Amino acid sequence: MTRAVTQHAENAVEAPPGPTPTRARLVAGLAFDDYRHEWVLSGCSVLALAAVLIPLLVLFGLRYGIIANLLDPLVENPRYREISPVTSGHFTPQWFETMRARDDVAFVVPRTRSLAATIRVRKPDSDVGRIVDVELIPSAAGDPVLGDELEAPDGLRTALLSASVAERLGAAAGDRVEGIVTRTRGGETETVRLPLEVAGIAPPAAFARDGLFVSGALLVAVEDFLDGRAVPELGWAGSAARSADRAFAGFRMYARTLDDVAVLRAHLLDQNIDVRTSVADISLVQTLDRNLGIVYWIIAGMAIAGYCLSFATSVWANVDRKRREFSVLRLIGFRTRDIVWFPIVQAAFTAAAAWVLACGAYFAVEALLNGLFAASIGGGEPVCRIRAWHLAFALVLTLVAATLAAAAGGYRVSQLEPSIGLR
Amino acid sequence: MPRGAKLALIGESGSGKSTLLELLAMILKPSDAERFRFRPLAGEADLDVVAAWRDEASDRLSAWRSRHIGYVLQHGGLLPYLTVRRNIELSRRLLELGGGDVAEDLAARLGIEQQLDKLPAALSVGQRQRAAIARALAHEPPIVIADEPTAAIDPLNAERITRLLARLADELDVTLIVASHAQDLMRDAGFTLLTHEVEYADDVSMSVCVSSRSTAAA
Repeated sequence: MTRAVTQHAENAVEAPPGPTPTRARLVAGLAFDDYRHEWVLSGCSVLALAAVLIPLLVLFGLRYGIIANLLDPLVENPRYREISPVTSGHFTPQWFETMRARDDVAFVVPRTRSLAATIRVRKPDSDVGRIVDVELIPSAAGDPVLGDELEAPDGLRTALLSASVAERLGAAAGDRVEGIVTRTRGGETETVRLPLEVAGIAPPAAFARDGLFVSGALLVAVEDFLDGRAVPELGWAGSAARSADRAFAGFRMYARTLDDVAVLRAHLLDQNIDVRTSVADISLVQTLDRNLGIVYWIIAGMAIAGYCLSFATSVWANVDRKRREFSVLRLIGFRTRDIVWFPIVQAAFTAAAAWVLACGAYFAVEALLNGLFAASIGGGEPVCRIRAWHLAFALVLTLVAATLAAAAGGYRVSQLEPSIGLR
Repeated sequence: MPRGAKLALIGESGSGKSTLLELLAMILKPSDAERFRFRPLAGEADLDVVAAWRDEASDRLSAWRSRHIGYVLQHGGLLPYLTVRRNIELSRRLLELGGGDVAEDLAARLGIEQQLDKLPAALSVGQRQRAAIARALAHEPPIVIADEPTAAIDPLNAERITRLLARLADELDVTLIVASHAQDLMRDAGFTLLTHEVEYADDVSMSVCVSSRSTAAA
């Protein structure tokens, strides 16, 4: 057997400070071979960790599901983001511009005096002949109530009906309805008709009262008429029109998100504008969420801490048991800083395998719980839910906790005296 | 000692042979050292082992040990979770050397080529010791240190293995330092015999002084 010439670096050169990629792969490979060789022990380790993870995941899923079931209706229905003034005020166009520019305002349009915003409406060619008192609601593009599918009313000839009005009149999209506006001027009663085309029906969940969604221009036209002024565009006689730069008595505003409702409310109160919001309902759910969260993390914290302690002691004992093998590795020439990773790499294997097992078990339990409680608690919604990023976060947390606990084992490895271990 | 020498350290078990070998393998720290001259490659500078211990540069010592030393333990010291082949190759893989045939060659020379893909638990004690020798030689170190390599093996097998080890050392130009209590066996295999005296300075420390026996190798 010929001796191959093996050239090595000079004697005095230090080895690279950290593990080289090949060295790291070698150590990780050895750790895996050892882990697989002791598969029974490793399997028990995985099961022990999974046993801690599964109830924590299920509890999390329950909490998330319950809160989501309470929160989703609030989030999906724009009604909860509405902010309405309690009394009449004096809101200039500049004020509306400022509010529109705010990030937390999703939608704001001027509103006239409430008395000037009620008319009667009927469907001319209907055999029922019903006449309904409706509220005129200013709308524009981006109205959260109308959603993405309905077009906002534009001009003086179109309107959208709320679901209750459409039902009472028997009207549908495309039909013609007629508004009836009456005023007293100079001792005389004057009535005008307002032909409108129904552009759509607003969803009932978003707006429960009787209303007609019209453009701001039409609302202003009606207010002017009721104040005795002329509206040339509609052919209504009267005194001179008001200047375009007019102030309004109220507003219709929606916050962008549920969290913004409280912020806007505080901002408006600072301006001495008293408003009505759903902030009480929102904060109820948010408080519940926060409290449940605190309780959950206390429980989870204790479980994780307890597990880490027991895992650290078992890793420590394992390192002691494998003292001779570590000493042999040192004898062959592995550096301490390479083999301290041994127990830590094995802990990562345990964490990953336990997480996979726990996820599988979680989904089984989730299906069971949702099936059991489908009729009663959830009200149709699943009571136990989890998102993908929750599970990803759980994996990271598990890896960190396990490898930190195994650091105790790494420390023990670094303290081994090879000569003692070899005896 | 010159390169290629074969030295046998004779003495009863527990007489400090292991301590000396571990000091030589740079795995045991001397409490007090004046001089340790180690020149693994001809024509190059000595390794300053004393300084390395003083500086607690265990990484440096590990690097030297991985390149220049092969160690055979009395009880194999094979990793139970690696096959015989991968155990033998381990010293080479640590040095990132290639050459997949080395393990097979050595195993064939040592008569264990049939066991290469088995786990150590499936081998007899004798086979395990042969594998340990193969691992010690696989990365072609200049020095191989063996601590009573055949003490746990029957005498006939022990003689065979010892002669094999000596022959391999001759072929590969390896310096052998073997601790043993079987003087006759070592002498017959061509080893220079050394005894040592142990001086206990106090309860804790002991110093070992090695002297050559007058009996030269045959």
